[in-house]
Amino acid sequence: MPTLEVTEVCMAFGGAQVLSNVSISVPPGHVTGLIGPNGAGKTTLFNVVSGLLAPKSGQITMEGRDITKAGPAARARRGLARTYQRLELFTSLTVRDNIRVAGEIRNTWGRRGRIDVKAETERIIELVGLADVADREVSEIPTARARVVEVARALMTQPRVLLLDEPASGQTEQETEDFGKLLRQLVSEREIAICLVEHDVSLVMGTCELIHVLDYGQIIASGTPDDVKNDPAVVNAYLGAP
Amino acid sequence: MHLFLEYTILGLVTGAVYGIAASGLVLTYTTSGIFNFAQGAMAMFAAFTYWQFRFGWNWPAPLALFMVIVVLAPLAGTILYGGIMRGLRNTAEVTKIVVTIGIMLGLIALAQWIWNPGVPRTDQLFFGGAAKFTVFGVDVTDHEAIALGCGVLIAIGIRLLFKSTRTGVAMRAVVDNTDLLQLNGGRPERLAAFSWALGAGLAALAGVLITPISGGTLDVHVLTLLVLDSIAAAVFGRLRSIWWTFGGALVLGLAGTYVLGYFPPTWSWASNFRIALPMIVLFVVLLVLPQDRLRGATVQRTRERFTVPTLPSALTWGVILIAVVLLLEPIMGAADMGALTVGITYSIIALSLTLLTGYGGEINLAPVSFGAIATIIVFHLGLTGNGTAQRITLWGILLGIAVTAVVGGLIALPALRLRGLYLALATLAFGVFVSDMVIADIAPHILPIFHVHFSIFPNGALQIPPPKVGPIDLNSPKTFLTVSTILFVVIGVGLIALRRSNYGRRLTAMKDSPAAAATLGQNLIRLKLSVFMLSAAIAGLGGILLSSVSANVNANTFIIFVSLALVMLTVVGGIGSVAGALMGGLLAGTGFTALTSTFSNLATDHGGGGIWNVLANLSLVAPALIGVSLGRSPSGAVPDIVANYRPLWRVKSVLALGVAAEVVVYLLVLTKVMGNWWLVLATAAIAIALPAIGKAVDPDAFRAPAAPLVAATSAQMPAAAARSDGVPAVQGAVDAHT
Repeated sequence: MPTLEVTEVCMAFGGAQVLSNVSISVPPGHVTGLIGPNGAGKTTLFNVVSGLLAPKSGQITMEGRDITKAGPAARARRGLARTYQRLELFTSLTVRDNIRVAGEIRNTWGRRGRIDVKAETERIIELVGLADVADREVSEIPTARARVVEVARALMTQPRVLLLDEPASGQTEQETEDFGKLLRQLVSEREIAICLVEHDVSLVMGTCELIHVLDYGQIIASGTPDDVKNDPAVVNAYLGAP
Repeated sequence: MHLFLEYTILGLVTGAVYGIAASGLVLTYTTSGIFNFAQGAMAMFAAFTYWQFRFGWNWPAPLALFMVIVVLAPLAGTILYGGIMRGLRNTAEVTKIVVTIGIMLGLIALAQWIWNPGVPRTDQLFFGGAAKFTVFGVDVTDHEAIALGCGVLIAIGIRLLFKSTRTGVAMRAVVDNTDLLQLNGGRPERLAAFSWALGAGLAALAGVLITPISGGTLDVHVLTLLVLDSIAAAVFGRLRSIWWTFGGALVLGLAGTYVLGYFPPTWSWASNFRIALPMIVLFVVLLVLPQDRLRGATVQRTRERFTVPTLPSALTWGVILIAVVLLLEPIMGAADMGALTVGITYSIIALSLTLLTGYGGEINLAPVSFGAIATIIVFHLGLTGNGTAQRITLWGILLGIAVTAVVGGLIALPALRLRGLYLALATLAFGVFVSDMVIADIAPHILPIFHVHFSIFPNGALQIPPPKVGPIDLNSPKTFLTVSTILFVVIGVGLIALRRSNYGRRLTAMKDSPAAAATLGQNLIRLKLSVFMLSAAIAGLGGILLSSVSANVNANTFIIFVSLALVMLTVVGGIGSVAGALMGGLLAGTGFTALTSTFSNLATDHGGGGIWNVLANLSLVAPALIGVSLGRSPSGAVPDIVANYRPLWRVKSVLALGVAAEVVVYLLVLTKVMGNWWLVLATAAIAIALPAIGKAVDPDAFRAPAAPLVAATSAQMPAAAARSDGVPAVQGAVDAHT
């Protein structure tokens, strides 16, 4: 059973239909890709899934439970975490405190599954490779690394589903390669479900086993990287001729 | 029926004037993103100016009206925007609010300076009271008909402006996405200036129209508050719909006159209720407004920067503060000590703002009103003994604090689902409500169940004795000062410890990005509620001490303008730091009062010396001027001062010299060789000279430390944020103004 299931979600801003009958599934233990041109509705879909926007219709379930009506915090408590394409870092805090406070928030959820915030913070800083900037103000570090802080912050809540909104944009080739490795490590070690929005096609093709393609608010293709790569509609809308 | 019609027409007329003022508010808010708290004061000032032209200088009415409403007010609005508001881009909500509060307080002080409040002035109805006609047997004056007509015309006019003109459509686009509008060839600056001009004109019209209707007497505070009531109408329109705003205004106007007409005269509180009604309505509207949605990336990087001291450093400065106060005590008289204690107790109230606003990002515009609640509880339930032996008990203080915290929670709860501005408005409504209904409840009435005579604020003045806790009796001014200072330090250091704790980090996270905090699983409402209650508790403690050191408190102690001045001066000092709260409290409680009375005394001593009077008045206007200048340095004065003195640490010789000079002066004053004022003057001189001397001795230490990375990435972050996903712009514009 997929960890995250989005069924027939519709969303409109005023008269503009931005998501029409979008259905995607994000299975555990895999990185699932969500690609599409700018303005296709990827970030809006993330906002709907994480509870910042209420959909006009449709259903969202996590591990079989309907969360369509739940608020953002309640969804987080069910094990959903995300990063933001337009950075939403806590700009008055250092890199370490940005990550640490996420663990501290996690520990306000209740006694079950409490974590040792201090140790976990250091573990995750090490895991994502932020040790050299851990004590810097988060507003002082380059944007590409700030995106990694968002990933680390999301990981602190020990999520079952992780939504990543262009986490690798601005990274160097080497950084992107390491990042891909990190994602594969996360899904295989912890069996979490990752949904990745990214424009770096090689990263997406290299890490994802399942890819959904969104265009003008509609899913135009879903399948393995090879299926998607050769789908004429996808080539036409997004990838371009090889 | 006749009576009903009469009240209906009067209600509609009042409603029309509320609508005019409120539509000005909506207009400026939707185009510049700044909620103009000075709208009421602008209306008041215009009413006075009109009086001056029309009745002071006997100009013909049309000329006077034209000058005030069409020429001067829009001019003032344009200047306000160009000179002040434009500089507030990328500042926190609290900075924007405080700047318009500064303008409000400045206009009030200026009006009292120009038009001596001791001289009675009245505005008359247009064409006099005799010019009237009859509708269904009810007399309607021409003035009332004109007011109603203006309301209708303006409602339709603004609606047409927004819907059918290019300017209007562009004005709606300004707020949604200024950058996008600029890229499309719009001129956001010019549009915002235009809306401020229009808004000021509407305020002026409202002021000129309402004065004769509400009796004709020109009173600075009454007029300001009267038009401030129109905020309720603007909130009714969710700060964007002109139709709903006017609808709300009519409801307000009608409700007010019906209460006046149909509440039984035996209800002694009915007239207070009528005055407080708009604020009660505002509160009810906040209860039913639908929840704001959390939008990502709405919080752009603001310019405010606060650093949090380490705990040892905070403790050190706390001990230094206590030591300084202990050293000052021997050279101060009882009156001076009392004045300083008032300042310290204000500072304790200001600490509630450091926690709530500085750390949590939420706004309370009526901290002193929470102090009033605690004071009233203590007065009724927390006193022991009689006559001069009467004291406040520890249990009284604790009960006062607890009740204030609970009241704070109840006030904040409806607004916590909404944007920060709405919480600010809810607290403003609470502050006005406390003044109009709680503190105005001076005549005893019989309680229904207990059958005892009771009033909340007997006779309009309460005697509050000093507290006594165990062996500590605050009866002597010296003990009171010492204990207040120690309490300030304990709470201040406690707040810094709190900010460095896991709770403080969660508060900071919520302030920096509510969306991210929520999607990490933070329950925002619970966190906001807890910080508001804690903050109200601190304000309650400060309020009890303030009332106690003042000994005698009345309606003026807790009037909303006192709260507003304290909020403003705390932001001026630095809302993010404990030192800023100290500075704000001392300025509000001691500083400007002392200046004003000094100058006033000099004026009396020197036989009406004009220059002293000018200075006395100037020191009344001065705080507002400082508040208005916040756009330039939104983090407040304390960070600037710290930055100025920090390099001195590296020039130890000069620092030692300064300390030595200060010690010598202090000893001379202590041994009565010199008067107290010399200590003040010499300290000021040393404080100013020291950085200059330090710079001369060691220029290297004063060179700005290189921080290229900060500059580079802070330019980068907004750029990243500006990558629009193209969606909110459409969304906001479509659901606006329907």
